Amino acid sequence: MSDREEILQQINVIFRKGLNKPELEMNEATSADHVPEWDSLNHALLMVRVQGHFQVKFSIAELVQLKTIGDLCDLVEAKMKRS
Amino acid sequence: MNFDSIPYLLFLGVSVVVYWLIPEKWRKQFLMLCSVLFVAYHHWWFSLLLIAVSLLTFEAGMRISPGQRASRWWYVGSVAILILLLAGFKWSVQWAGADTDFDQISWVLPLGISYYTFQAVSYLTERSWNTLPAEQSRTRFLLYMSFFPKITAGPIERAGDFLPQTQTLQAFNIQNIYSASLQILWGLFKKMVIADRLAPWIEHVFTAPGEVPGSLLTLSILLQAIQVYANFSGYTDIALGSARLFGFELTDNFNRPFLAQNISDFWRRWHITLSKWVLDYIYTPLSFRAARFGKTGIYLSLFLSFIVIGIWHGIEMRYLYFGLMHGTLLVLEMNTRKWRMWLETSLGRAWSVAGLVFTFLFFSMTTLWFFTFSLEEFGNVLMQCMRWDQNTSISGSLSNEDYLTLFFAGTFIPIDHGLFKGSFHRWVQSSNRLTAGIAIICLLICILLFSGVEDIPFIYERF
Amino acid sequence: MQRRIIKSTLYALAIACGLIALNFIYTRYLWPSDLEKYAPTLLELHAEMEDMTVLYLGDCSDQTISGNDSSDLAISDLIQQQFPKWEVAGISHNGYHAGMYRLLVENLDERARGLQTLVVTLNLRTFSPYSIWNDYQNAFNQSQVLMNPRPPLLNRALLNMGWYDRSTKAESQERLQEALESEELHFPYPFEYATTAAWNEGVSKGSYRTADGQWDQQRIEAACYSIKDFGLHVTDQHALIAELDQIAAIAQQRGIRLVFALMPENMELIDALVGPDLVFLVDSNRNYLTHRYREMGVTVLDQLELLTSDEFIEDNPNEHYTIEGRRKIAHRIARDLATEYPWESSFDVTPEQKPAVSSGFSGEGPFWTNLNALSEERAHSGKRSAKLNKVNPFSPTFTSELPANLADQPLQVEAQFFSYAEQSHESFKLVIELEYADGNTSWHGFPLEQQGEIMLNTWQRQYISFPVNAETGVSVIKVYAFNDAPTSLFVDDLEVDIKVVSTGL
Repeated sequence: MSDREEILQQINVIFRKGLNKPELEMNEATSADHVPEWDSLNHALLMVRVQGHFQVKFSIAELVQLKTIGDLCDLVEAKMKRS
Repeated sequence: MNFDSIPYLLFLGVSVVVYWLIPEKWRKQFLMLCSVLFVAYHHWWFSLLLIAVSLLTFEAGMRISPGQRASRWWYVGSVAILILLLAGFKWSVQWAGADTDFDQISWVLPLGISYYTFQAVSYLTERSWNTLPAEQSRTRFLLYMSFFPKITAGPIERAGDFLPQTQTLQAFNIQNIYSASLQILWGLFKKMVIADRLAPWIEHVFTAPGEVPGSLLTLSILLQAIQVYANFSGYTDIALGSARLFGFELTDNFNRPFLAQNISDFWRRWHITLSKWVLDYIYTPLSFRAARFGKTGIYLSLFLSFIVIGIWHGIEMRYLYFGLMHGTLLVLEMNTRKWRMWLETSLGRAWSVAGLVFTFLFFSMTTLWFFTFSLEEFGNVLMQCMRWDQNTSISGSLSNEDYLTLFFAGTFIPIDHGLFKGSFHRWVQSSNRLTAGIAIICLLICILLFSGVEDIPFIYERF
Repeated sequence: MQRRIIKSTLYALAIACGLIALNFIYTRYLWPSDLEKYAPTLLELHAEMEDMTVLYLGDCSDQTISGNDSSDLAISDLIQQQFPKWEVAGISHNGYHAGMYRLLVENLDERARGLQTLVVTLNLRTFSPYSIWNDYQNAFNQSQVLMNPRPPLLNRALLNMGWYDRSTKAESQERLQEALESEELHFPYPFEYATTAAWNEGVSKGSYRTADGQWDQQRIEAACYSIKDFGLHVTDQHALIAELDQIAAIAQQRGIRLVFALMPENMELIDALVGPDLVFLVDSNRNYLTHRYREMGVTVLDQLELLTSDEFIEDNPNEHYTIEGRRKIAHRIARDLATEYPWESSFDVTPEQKPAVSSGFSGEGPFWTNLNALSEERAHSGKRSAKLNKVNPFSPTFTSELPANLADQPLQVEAQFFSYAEQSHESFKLVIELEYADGNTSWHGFPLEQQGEIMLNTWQRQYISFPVNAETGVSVIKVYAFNDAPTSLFVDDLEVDIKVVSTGL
């Protein structure tokens, strides 16, 4: 499994736990529109968990530009590479 | 210049004709001039303030560059000035003691300041996030800030949506002109026939709500929600239609709000540009930072965001209560999402209808804050609503004119939300000629014969 | 291209027809309720137009009553009482001014064929900016849109679109202040203040004090109101002068007799509150108005000093009158109307009192003797009239023995009748014969020509009024017509009223 796929898988785990949805399966094109439970309340909590899990820090500017899971994977990957 | 007045329609007509006749290279300047004159028409110094705010924002935007230390100060400093300016004017409205009579405050509250200040803050914030390149042209930027169709009461347009349109102006398109005219017609109908007919009724009832039978008071509260929608969305349609006459597309502020089945959906359909502004620039940054405190932090962010929505209407306790009520319900919804989804699965359509009715009732109730000034007054009105005297029927106190008003108000929402799907001009374009022709003629007849006449300013112009 | 032109023309015609049809529907079914809401006086005018002979246009002065009034009759009602055979239409509204009257006059159409006289009240206060920039202004501006003599549908559309001047309260205050500051005062002697605003400001600063040295706030306020109401020069440039000129032009064009009734002001109070300077201004404005419109051939009734202070209702100078005041004004206006049409009027100096003795039509009731001259040759009403000539010179005679309670009262004998003459009759007289308790008799003859121009070959109303002094000991009053010429003169519907005259008027 590539680093990228690993990141996607871990994000899926975080989201399954955070949204209490064990059957959730997201891909890079998935956005909040596809997941009803992924609302503005859960979004912030999920981002904090993602930050904590991958030991990275996102800025607001970076967060607001995220549209899909793919964008999130890009961001995590870039942050990890930097660190 | 009210949007439903002859001077505005004349001004619009002349500026549209001149716009399309002059060479393209002068059109931006011409529109900018028209916009500044439009503002100056109300009070000359309003236009000076607008120009000053625009230039400040432009210059700050040029100097905000992520990663640079000074740029942070430029961002913080300019946003602080803008917010203080807005707060100062809002506070002066309070100080002028004109919380009941909008007419008295027209010289105090500069036209459109709530809207263009938020636009400016949005532009500077996007600059600080590096999601938007700095605008290089003062003319284009001034046009963005001052564009007259949206200056009075929004929409709060994002620079990222509007500025590109100023770079490549649309070519003349007669279909577009026709469609825009239809949108203006529908806006005029909503404002003049629906909102203006309801306004005196509501004003009359809320002058002494304690003396009105509970049934009539309840009905009036529901009508008040329709009146606010008709007034504001009517304005919005005229604004959007006016912009489209010049080939500019603005963001719609409404998406059939009374089809919302819960309050979070409602805020995705009502005053969309304001709620999106608060979501993107207040809630998202706040909640992200507060998320470290778990759900409590998120909830606080939500309350704060709705407090901003509330006091944007005015720095008064009643608007604060307005925001808090909506924030509270939203938090409750968030916490009960699982149960609600289960009910939706179990009850199906019945649950959807119940949600729709409840959301409408809740919103109607909160519009009471436009007429009451304290919790006690608010409570008294609600108590009065429950006093359904057996001996008093609503029909006893209604005239033929009132029945006509009720007919218009009652049929308006199903037609607007159901038949036209929130867009009359799109419906016309998808209908056959005869149907469309009949609809247009009916609208014109209603506007000519059945418009309300009392002098009612656009509600959201006062914010 | 041709097809396009034809198509466009057809569309334009269709739209025009549609608008005409819509205008018809609106005028027929919806306009009256709009008028009732926004321009009720126009609706009143429509209702009165066919029947009225006199149109009285007034403001609050017409109908404001005092709680102590014995009657709530308006001035126009009191005038109507003076002329029971006419239709006196009174249309008034609080705050109305010449601009509103002008619109009403412009709306007179062919239905107003019977209108002979137009009485327009002139209220000096309406000329002041204080009166113009008031709470009624926006509502009046709305009314004016509907009252304009244009297609009603167009008026409604303009009203919908707010096509009228609207001021917020703040703007009205601003404009009022501007007007007061720009109103320059000119006196033929040195005067302390250059403008009305300065004068008002000066007086407001403790001009009057109570006995204990405190500012007499009530008096100061009343004085300031007076200055703002009357402290101005009415000139040719005043907006209301243009309106009054227009009314005069319309009246002249339509052959309607125009009367401007300058309403009484409480001159005593104005003098007491502010002094001779303000009285001077009021006086010069009165002179300006009376002179200007009399030059134009308009009858101007100068009633400015008609009333005493106790005939005004309030303590501030305004045009609200007690019933006594309203009666005086009505009497004054009626007296003017009566000079023009003497056979039409009856001087009812105490309008609510019925005549002490009334004959009804000739030949009816207990009063009539000598029915020899009655002929069926022609009649004004019924089948017969009195044909008077050398053969039968005396008409039916009204004879009334005065009741004891009237014996020492001042009386007014009023007789009216219709005459029909084929040629001029110098020998005709209406005779009032008085018999006294001491056996003496006096005769008082009134020739036909005295009543004005005689119209031949038509029934013409005649009117005689004759005072009978108190303490003369009159016991019997007789009234009859006399003609001993060879050619006949017909007399019909002779009515005699004997009225008690109240003192003081």
